[in-house]
Amino acid sequence: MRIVVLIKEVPDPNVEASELSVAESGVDLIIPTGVPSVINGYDANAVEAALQLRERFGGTVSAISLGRSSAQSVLREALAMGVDDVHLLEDARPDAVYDPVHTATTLADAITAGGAVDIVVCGRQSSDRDGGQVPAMIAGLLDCALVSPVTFVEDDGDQVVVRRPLRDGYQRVALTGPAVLAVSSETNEPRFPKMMASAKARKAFIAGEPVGADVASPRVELRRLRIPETAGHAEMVGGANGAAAGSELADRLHEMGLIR
Amino acid sequence: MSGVLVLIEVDGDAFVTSPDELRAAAMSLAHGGPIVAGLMGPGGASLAPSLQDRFDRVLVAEGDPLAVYSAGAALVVGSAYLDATEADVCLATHTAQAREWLALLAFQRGGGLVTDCVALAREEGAVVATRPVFGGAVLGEFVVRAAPAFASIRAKSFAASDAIGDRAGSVEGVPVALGDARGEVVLEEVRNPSTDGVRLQDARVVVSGGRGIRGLADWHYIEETAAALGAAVGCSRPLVDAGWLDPSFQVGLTGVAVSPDLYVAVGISGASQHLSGISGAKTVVAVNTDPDAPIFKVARFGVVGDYRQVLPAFIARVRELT
Repeated sequence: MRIVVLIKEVPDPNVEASELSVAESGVDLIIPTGVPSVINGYDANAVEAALQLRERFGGTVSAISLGRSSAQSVLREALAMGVDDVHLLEDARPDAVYDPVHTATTLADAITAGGAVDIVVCGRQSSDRDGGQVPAMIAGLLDCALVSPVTFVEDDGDQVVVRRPLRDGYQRVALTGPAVLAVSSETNEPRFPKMMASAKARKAFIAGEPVGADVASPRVELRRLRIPETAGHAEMVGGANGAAAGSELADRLHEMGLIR
Repeated sequence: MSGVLVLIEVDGDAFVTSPDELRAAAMSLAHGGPIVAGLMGPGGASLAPSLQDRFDRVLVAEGDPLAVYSAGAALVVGSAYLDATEADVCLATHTAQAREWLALLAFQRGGGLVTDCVALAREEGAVVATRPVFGGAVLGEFVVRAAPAFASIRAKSFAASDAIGDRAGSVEGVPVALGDARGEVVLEEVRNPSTDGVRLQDARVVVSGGRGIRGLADWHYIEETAAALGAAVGCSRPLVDAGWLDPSFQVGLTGVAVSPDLYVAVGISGASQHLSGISGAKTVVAVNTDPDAPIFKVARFGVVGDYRQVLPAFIARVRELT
């Protein structure tokens, strides 16, 4: 089974919203110094899902990242977790260029350049853009099945069966051909790399391949970023102890007609 | 080409996404052009007449092709609806399913898509869409350059307009030819019987627990508070990731967007990801041990304390008052 996992380097999403600001360009976000770049959270779940599929069905897992040269670090993380090979597509586009189709096309070209693929695994969305479109567009380009999001990958049987959430439950979906699986965080718990593997991954040579020179006519353009103002602060309800505060809170909500 | 096609999700004899919210979103983009509704989902034919006074046309796929959902089948249905209209804008509500088929449809049609929008406008013909990025900490304004323009809207972000009932749309069957299944077979659908109470997204009061809840054994504090208030129960993402609760309980950017009159957040710090889902709540109340928790910035009332002391007294007083 040839499995390809797509991973993205993103600013640590745990940064406090109040520390973010928008650059003069209006379309670039200023991330405070000291905030690390990390593997997109859902993509770590994707690597785990890919490795588990390889453990069951055999084959190889290739990791591809489209990003800056610094995305080497998330590829090293994937190597340390156990993927077989990694590919860095160095993006020449400015950050503000926002075209999921271009992203998907670049990734799909890289996927098919390595031969026929059985399963493409990726995160359901990136924590910086949060668009969640790229998985569907890759499925469109590869003309294969799409499940996005995936909330569970079953771990037995002789075919790949995944869960697709419904409004009030889920479907069990068996894949009968190539597919793009966009996994969500509840799918699994990403493994911690072993120390030896991490040390080896740190030394791996990762050559970047330049891509993305053609940015003509994006389908969607980012015009402006802004940071919504937070309203203010809660009126604190206190008391001699927690119980007194709880009782007082009920009274306040009752006065406002919110409890009836 | 002009006009707006809104794709409304249905399930049997109920709307899953709000026709009126989609219509409100469409009104700002239609510029007098027709607003056409297309029904997506199993069944739904019985619902079509109820939309006739609000849409210029109501399209229903013939033969119930989405009796069992698949992304590929939904793509074919959406595509057939687009073929049946002159629409240059296509809207749906951002749901787990629309994530799949609206993106497939936009890609197939060569259009531009912006997902999970909280505001839409039209400027010099182009659709301008505003959506949360960076976990909801930042808002991004996007201009759709390719036609048709596709957008999914965040539930509860567009107020249904009062001026409804002024149209006299026809109900039209649309023939749909499903091709070969696109590499997937649905083995089984599992529905949660637990959703027999108030739907989270429609609830007037919601009580949610987060990472501050010390263990699943403490979850009864949340359930009892909800019961006292006649509220629906929700949670923040860490509890779903930990496997405590089904994803259908998750409130936030990647979960359900709620807009209750009262939202009680217990042990929820208030990450942007979660706050994105409660921006429509009228009154937020937070109980948290950390006085610096960001949730207190959006809450109307806050209590710094241990929920195990606060909530039993709160419940007792609520029972006295109601």
